[in-house]
Amino acid sequence: MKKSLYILIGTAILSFWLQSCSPDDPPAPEEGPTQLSLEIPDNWPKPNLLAENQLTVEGVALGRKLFYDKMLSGNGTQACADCHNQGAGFTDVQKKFSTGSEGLVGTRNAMPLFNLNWSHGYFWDGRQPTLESLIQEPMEAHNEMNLEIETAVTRLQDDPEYPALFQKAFPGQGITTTTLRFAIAQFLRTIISGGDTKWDQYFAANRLNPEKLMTAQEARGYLAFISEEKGDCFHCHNPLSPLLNNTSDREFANNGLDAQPDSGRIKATGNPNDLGKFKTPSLRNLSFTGPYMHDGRFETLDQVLEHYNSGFKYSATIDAVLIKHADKDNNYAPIPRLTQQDKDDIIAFLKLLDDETMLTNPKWSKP
Amino acid sequence: MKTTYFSSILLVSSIFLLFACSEKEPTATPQPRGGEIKVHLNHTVNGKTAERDQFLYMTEAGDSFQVTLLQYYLSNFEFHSPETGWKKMDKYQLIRLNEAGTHDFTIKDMPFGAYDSVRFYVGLDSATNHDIDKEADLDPGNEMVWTWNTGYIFYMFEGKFIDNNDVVVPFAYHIGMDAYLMKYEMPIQSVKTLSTSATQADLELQLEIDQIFRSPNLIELNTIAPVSHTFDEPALTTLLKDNLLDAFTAK
Repeated sequence: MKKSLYILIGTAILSFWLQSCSPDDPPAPEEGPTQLSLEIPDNWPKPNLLAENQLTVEGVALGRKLFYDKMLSGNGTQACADCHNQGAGFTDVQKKFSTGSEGLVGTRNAMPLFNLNWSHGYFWDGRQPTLESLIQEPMEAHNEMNLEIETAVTRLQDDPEYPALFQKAFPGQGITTTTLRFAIAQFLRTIISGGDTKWDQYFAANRLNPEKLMTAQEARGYLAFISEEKGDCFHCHNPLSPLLNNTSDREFANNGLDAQPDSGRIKATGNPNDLGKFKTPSLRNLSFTGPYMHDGRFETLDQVLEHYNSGFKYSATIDAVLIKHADKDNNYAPIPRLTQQDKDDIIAFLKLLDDETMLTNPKWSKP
Repeated sequence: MKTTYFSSILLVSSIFLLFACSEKEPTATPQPRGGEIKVHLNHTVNGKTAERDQFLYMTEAGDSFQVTLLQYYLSNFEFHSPETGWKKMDKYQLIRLNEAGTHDFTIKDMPFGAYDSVRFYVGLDSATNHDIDKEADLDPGNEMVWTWNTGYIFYMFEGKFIDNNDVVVPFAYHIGMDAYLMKYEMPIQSVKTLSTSATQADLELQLEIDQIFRSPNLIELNTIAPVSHTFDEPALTTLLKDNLLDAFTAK
């Protein structure tokens, strides 16, 4: 009897010891959306993601459906995708300004929607700090989709499909202004352009001298692009950054479009030094994203280059990089430095940045 | 006999249980073998804390100016104490005037000693300057690189001044390239002692931003190019660099 007792106690102690030191039992798998990792090319900077809006397979799929759904306009005739067309690099096809669902015309050129994870301010003046905060504005603007976001939520709640899709993407949160904005933002965050272009291939193969892999004209264009004396483009569009636009000190710049600028980043910051400053766009996919500038004033890349060559205008907030090419004895008028051949060469180089796969990638097309 | 045998098993198991999951045995607290120096950058213009985007300042030559952007690399720190001689520390830091978080950094694993002098570079040594595949502060995405061939911008200073015709003119002076690396050695005004009882010390580096236009080369903004990227204005860059060599103090 005593022996049995000892065995029992000994076994109990041993069992207790074995269990007490074992790692915690893995929790039962929770039902919920599937986490999604962004497909970011090698050597790209860290993306600016919103911690509260983790990307999921279900959230991105929902956002994609919403992006293409005309239900999100007041009269049901317009979706986000109508002014941000995949085939045009998610811009409005060759339009200076877009026409809203009620036929009203906007005042800014529809911005391309790719590589948005690397911005620090959205819209041409950077007035929205996150993608998630951006969504509401074009939805509600009278000259865009003209639908109060609360009305959009009600419509989605009454829809036969959306409640279940929101439940999958945002379990227990329902359809709210927040989950609506978060879903579309999740989809937009997945649109990444880069890595597959000829430029990316050349740069990966020979970072010191990528021009050695280009045609003669492309190489001349690249060297003019990075030349202080010729294009001098690289201060704002640094080719060492895969985004091909500055995301820090020159993320917003006054590139001399107007002698008396009356808008720009100042509307977001109130800082007089931001008068006339607008977002420095990426130079990727320029073949598809014209017309150019915040007001779409230039129809061709040749016109853009001629602006930087002979057309920029002095104002107190003009970027110093342009002042280098201005005549201080002549009211800082431009000193032309580019020949037609230089411009043609630079444009040939810029075409290396076209990512045609983005235009047809089924991940971002209408579901 | 058998009872004794099982008692022994029980006793051993109990002892094993008692000690198996306990924390590591207490050991004598290890004595720190070194300390750290916390560096803080203090930027001034005309003797006051620097503020951006306002015409608050005058150059020594009388030009009204403002600062819009300042960012630069500090690297290759060395500290001197009688105990250690010159001790080189592997540390580089990108300072951005408009990001207060970059104004403070820590140099760790400093041997004990009474540090009375400091050396550092504004810029990057040649090997680092021309190496590629950099991350963090040296990531080219920080827009402090011209091209891989020319290397990093060591000191990027931009602002505006009012010219002789009362026109507001932006200026940009970007100093880089190996020949313009700025090397500093200076006494630390208040000796920093690191010991077992004092493993942290604070070092303040003060940068007088307006010194770039002051001395030994008095610079009138009206008379120089408003923009320099070093290789296009080597003579001007030399003047600016020589002035900057007197711009830091260590406290």
